[in-house]
Amino acid sequence: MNEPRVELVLALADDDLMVGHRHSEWTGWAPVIEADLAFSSIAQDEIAHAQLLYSLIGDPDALALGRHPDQYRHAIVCERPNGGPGTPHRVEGGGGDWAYAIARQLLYDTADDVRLEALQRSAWDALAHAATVIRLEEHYHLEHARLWLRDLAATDLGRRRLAGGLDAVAREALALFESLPGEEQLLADGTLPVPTADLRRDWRSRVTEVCAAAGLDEPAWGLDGMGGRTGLRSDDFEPLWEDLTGLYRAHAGATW
Amino acid sequence: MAVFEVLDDGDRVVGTLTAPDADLALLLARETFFRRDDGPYAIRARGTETLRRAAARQPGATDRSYRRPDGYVGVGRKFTRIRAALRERGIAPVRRER
Repeated sequence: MNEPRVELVLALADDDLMVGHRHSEWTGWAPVIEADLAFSSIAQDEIAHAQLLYSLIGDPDALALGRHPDQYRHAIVCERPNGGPGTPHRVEGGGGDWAYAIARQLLYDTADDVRLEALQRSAWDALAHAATVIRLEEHYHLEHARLWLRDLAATDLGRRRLAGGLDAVAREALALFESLPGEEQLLADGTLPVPTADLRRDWRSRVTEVCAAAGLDEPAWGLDGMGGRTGLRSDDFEPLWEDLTGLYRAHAGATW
Repeated sequence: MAVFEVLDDGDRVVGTLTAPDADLALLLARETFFRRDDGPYAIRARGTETLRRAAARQPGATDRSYRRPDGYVGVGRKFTRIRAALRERGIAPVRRER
């Protein structure tokens, strides 16, 4: 397996795993039980997508749970707690902000849809097939984000909270399309049919459209790159990694 | 907030849910009532006749076997096997503290 392909799959799968784990922290704490179930399901979908992607390059459990913190390749926005950067690690006890969580879900799932759409044309057949399978479930995720955005934007308080959440996510979300290690080779051999910079442009215009449809301003965009794709992590990652991998590490070599 | 009745595709009432509007009610009903079922279903606001229908979900996109309760079948037998294996190896079973 060539290195740039491994780096690409890790970027995609680690994003799904971290976002899925953060979504799962709402289980039991979302605003109403129906929202709780829907968001928990989306969390499970994201983790199932990560599993499918990891299986292209190795053992999903070992890749998801057996790596050192600096070996992950997700964008930093995916590891942030549900209240935003630097907020309490867990949702329980009032740590989360539903507006931030919905804003992240919207920007992340739109980004995922844009890049998966491109990857359906990948010269790497197994990846193209995985992208097609995963996209079947993204429709539900996008509808979920769009409807919550519309309904939260219907009141003054909701609009204020949403604007704050969208800005906090947008400051870090451009880095979802940070250029990948080995991107030139991925483009040359057709694994990645579209450069990340072009994907980012398409994604930004789709996000702006959805915001406009809900009567919201384009969010304030931030940094192009934050180093997530080369293993740079924020202080918010360590407690997430402890939660995610603790059980697996406590029983090294166990069969599950 | 309105209360919606959720119907299966035979139009039998399977439950109710609260949502601010019919769009969100239709979306949330899927995971509240049909987590393990890919079939079509409908909702109607309580006290009205207007139905909103949701199409069937694309089946088998990714492995959803983890959503089924079958994994709990035979847990008692599994515990018995584990206790026997522990005895064989001379390891005391873990007792829950009271």
